[in-house]
Amino acid sequence: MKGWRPNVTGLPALLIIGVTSGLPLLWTAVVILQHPGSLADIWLSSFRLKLLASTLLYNALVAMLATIIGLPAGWVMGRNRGWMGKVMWACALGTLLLPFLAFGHGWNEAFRITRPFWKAIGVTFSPGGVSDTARCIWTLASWLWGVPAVIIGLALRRLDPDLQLAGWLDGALYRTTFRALLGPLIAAAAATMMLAAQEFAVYEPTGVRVVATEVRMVFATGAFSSAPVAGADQEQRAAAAILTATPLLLLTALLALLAAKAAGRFSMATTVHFAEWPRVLDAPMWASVLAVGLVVLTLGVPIAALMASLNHMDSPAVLFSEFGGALGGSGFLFLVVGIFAALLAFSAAASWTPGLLVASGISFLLGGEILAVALIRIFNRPGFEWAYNAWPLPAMAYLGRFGCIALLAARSTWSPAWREIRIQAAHDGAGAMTIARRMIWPLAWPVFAAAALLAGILSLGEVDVTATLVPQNPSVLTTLLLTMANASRSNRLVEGSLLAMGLVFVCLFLFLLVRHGLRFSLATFKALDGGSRAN
Amino acid sequence: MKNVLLGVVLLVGLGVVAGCNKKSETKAAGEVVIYSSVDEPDLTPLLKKFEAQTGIKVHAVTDTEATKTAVLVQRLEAEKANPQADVYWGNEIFHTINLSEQGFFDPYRPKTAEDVPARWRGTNDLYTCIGVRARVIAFSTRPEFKGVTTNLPHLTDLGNPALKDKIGFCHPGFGTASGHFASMYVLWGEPKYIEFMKALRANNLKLLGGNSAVADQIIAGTLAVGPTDNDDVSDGKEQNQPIDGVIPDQGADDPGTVLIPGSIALMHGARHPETAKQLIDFLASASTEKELMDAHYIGYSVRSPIPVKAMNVDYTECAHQMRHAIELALNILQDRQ
Repeated sequence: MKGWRPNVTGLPALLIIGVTSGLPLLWTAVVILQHPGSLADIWLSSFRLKLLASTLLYNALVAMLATIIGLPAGWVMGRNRGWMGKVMWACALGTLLLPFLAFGHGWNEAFRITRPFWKAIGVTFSPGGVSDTARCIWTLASWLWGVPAVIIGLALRRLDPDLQLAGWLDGALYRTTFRALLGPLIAAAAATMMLAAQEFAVYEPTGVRVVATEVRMVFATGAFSSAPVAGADQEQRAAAAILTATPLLLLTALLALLAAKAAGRFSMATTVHFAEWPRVLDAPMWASVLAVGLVVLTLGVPIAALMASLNHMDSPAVLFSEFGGALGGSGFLFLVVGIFAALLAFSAAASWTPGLLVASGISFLLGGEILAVALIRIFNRPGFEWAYNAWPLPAMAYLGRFGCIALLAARSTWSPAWREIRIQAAHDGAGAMTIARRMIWPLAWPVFAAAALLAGILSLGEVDVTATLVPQNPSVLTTLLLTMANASRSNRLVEGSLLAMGLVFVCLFLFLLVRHGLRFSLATFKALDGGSRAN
Repeated sequence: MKNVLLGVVLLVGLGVVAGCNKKSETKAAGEVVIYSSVDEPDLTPLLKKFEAQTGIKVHAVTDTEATKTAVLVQRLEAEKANPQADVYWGNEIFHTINLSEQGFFDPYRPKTAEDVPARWRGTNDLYTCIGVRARVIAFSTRPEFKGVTTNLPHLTDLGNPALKDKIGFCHPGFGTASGHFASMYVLWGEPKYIEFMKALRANNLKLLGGNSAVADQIIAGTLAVGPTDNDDVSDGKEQNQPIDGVIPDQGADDPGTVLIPGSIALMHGARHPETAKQLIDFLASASTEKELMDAHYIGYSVRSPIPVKAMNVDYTECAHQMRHAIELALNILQDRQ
């Protein structure tokens, strides 16, 4: 707090986090204070200790696997100047854009179709067993590999080429690059692990035990908690559920903190570089081939499995009547969340308010169901119908969950590497707003845009908030897919999943086309403008 | 940067057009809000029919397959101070009883349900039952399981060691399974209940994330048997999946199976009480019940004798004992002690 002064440029961030994270956290704090007996729920029985250990293990394995898958792609994204690098960027973002429900169902179908093969080699996928848990871990990792790939790609783009060049001259290019990337690698694994911890829906159907299942049970029934057997109201159960989840939240926060420290300590970059790199540092062909192979495996297999399991495809008119409204609604909320997340990042990069990241991090870890219930309790009152029965409530809930991603992106511009830029500009007499507008935003906007995109993407597939709020105006695709998550109605689910995936790729293609067109137009305009001035 | 800003402006424009395509709908007379955990494919046609008949616009908030009833009940509880729902239609009765005891509902006897026996009505008409589902033992019809799935007349047969590693049950904390566990506890008493849980534990019972998950695993061939609701089996059979079901405990000396009635209620503080009553009248009618039976969502009518031997338990007592039954079961099934 020392030296911090409120600044108007930081006001949007303060408002967004205050409403979406601060208010729900205040509600949970009041609920816990009103029911001090629930503090007993923080105690870990031997069962809950094992549950905590297994949850952490599963998520750590997801993070490790996703980082391994993402490494070659990230390398190509960071050190390939041709079309292959661009394709990898599109694939990494495209995979993350896919709603996890649809993607997970694709893998379920893939494992179902290949069951004879697995059976022949003795793998049965008995619910909750080792192979079933491995299936869940693989499904999550094959969805999340884009996170480490993007972080590694960005880190390589920002890496000092001279450092790598020195390593190359010493015959130690890989070792030097690995050391330089150790910080981002740890950060990538930590980010993936935190995201994996939120996607417990993959484990629950087949009975793989994780902390989230226990928390849900406590919240729904009050079982195994301090809430009284008779007459326990929702607030008592909420307090018990929050405190049941607390050990995992604390450990996750601790791991995130350690990862951030490690990332800073191991990072060899003390300044930010944007220079071109020499050709000797290009990603080798074998890395490109490996990256393509892994992308085909992680992205191609589930899509192919969905297509193979489709019994019949309804006419576009039928599909539109069934899914059109929900697709439009999901797209709209994606945009709203993305825009507010971008606003959050730009604002926090201009003026950093202490405590915002902690508040948004806690509301992220709190879990969607409790966050949604807190927002219902806060906003379901006369005079707030405009927010409660329309898009603001789900948008607030999604920002409460994923606003921390935008704040993390903004926080990266307050690191030592960026401090030099700020100090130099301040020496030249620039104020906070000018520094942000002229120096920080133009350099860091791709990171902010990526963070906003990620926040929007995660909102698209978020299950807990969506299942509790069941947004109606607009309706969203996740609700529809959740109602179809049943084997006997799988054709509808497959159709919806393929439609969602198709829409994502069409949007991505259009975005790239528009971006390319705009670049071309601007370049032509500049050339013409320069020509006319010269004349 | 400029082209990105332009792109964002374009996208916002498109988004606003897409998102605001739906007219913003204000709640006025001629509207009604229903919260329901009845399966959406079975619910929607009924609501559309009601809209066509009356001109009243229905806003439906449904529960998802994965979060049956529990999440909808959480939402009702969260909204208690300022209820948004006019009508609650649950796919079971146990949560409805708990909600009625906490003052969530106003008394209302549907005009179309005068013929519903008192057994299927709540105290002071706080709720009315619509249709009955039965808990069945679903089993795989795959040839490799034939030896172990052909003789399952009793629920307690799930303790047969031949079924080890092949049984699934929905986690007792979720869905109609909570009521099933509570019913077993109330019917048998604690010693027999514990004994059965121990037998299930010895058979390495798999606790799954929902009743439909039990059916899904049986269809997939990873499990051979598991208790679930009759509609999960019917859905699978309609899709020609390798699944069938048997109603357990139907012999002369057997206690019968658990029957799960759906339940509908008028919310206390409903904003549209008159349209809510019209909707309740429509949904509680014999014709609606018949449609639900034709769709195989429910197995039996509350209006006629049910051709299934039912477990003779007091649903209110089951609702009260639910948490204790869940804790006892999980202590054994998950080795918590």
